[in-house]
Amino acid sequence: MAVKHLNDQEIQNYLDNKRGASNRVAMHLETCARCQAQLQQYQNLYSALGREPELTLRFDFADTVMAKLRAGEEAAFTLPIWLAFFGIIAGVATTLYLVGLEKAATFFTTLRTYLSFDWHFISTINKYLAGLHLNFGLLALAVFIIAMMSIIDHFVFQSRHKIQ
Amino acid sequence: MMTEPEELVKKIVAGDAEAFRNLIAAYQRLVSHIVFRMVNNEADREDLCQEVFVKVYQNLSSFHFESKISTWIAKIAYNTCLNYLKKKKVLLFDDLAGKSESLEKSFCSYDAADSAALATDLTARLQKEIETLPAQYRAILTLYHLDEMSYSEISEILDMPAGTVKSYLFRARKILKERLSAKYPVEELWP
Repeated sequence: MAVKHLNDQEIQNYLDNKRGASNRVAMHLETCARCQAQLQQYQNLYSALGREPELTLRFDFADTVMAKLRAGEEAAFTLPIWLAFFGIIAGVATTLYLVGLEKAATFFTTLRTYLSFDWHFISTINKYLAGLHLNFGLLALAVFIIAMMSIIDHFVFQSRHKIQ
Repeated sequence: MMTEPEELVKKIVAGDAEAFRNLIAAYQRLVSHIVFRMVNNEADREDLCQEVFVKVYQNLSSFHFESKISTWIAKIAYNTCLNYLKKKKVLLFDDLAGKSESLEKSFCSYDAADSAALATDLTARLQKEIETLPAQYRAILTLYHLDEMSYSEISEILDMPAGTVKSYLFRARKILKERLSAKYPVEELWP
C-alpha cells in the first residue's frame, strides 16, 4: 500500500499549531524521513522569516516627523477666506453702528463731492434701509459676536490639538 | 486604571510632543516592517514611514481604542503603502482575484535570480524572493512572522476575512519554499 505523505498545508498547519496537530500528522512525522525533510525545510523558512531585516530608519527619524508636523501646522495656521470676509463685515457693521448710518452717509456724500464720483447709490441704500426699520445696532452686534466666536474657535479650540 | 497606550494617547491629544516621540519610538519598528517589506523603492520608504506617523498624529483624537493601537497604526501603514503602490501602478494581489493559479504563479515568477545570486545566506536570498511577491502577501508574511500578529489582527489590518489571510499566508510560504528550492541546492539552502 502506497504511503500517503503530508502535503504542504498539513506541514505548515503542524508548525503553526503543534499542540492542535492531529495524531496522524504527528505519528507520520515521527516515522517518515521524506516528510521530516520537508518539515525541516519549512522550519528553516519560518526561522528566516522571523529574523529581523537589516532595514532601519534614520536615527533622527522622530525629529523629521516632528518637523513635518510643525511645518504642516504653520501652513494650516493661515486666516481662512470666510473668516476674513466675516471680519470685514463685522468691521463695517461695527463702524456703521458706532458712527451712525446718517453720519456715515453724510461722510460718503461729502467724500463724493471731493472725489467727483456719483455716490448717489449710498443715499438710495440709506433710504431703502431706513424704510425697513431694522435695528442696525442689534444686527451689527450679532455679526460682531459671530465673528468673535469664529475667531475664538479658530485660535483657541482648534489649536488645542497643536504640537507644542 | 488607565493602561499605558491610553495614557500616551491622552497626552499626545493634549499636545505633549514628548509623548508623541515615545509613540514613534514604540511603533516605528512595526511601521518600518510593513513599509520596507511592501515598498521596494528605497528612496520612498522613509518618506512613507514619516507620512504614516503624520497620519497617526492627525487622526489620534478620533481613535477610541476600539482595537489595539498597534493594529490601528499597522492599518494606517498598510493603507498608506497600498495607496502608494496603486499610484505607482504596482500590481496587488487584489488585481488577480478570481484569476487562475497559473496567473498568480506568473505574477510571482519575476526573475530575481541575478540579484539573489549575490546573496549568500538564506535570509538574504529569502529577502530577495519576498520582494518579488505581491504586496499583500508580503504584508501578511511580515505581520505574522515578524510582528507575531494573529490571523484576526491581520484580517482587521488588511480588511479581509481571516480565512483569506490564512490561505494567502500558506500560499506565500509555499511559493517561497518552492522557488528557493528550485534555485539553490537543498544542502546549501537548508543545511
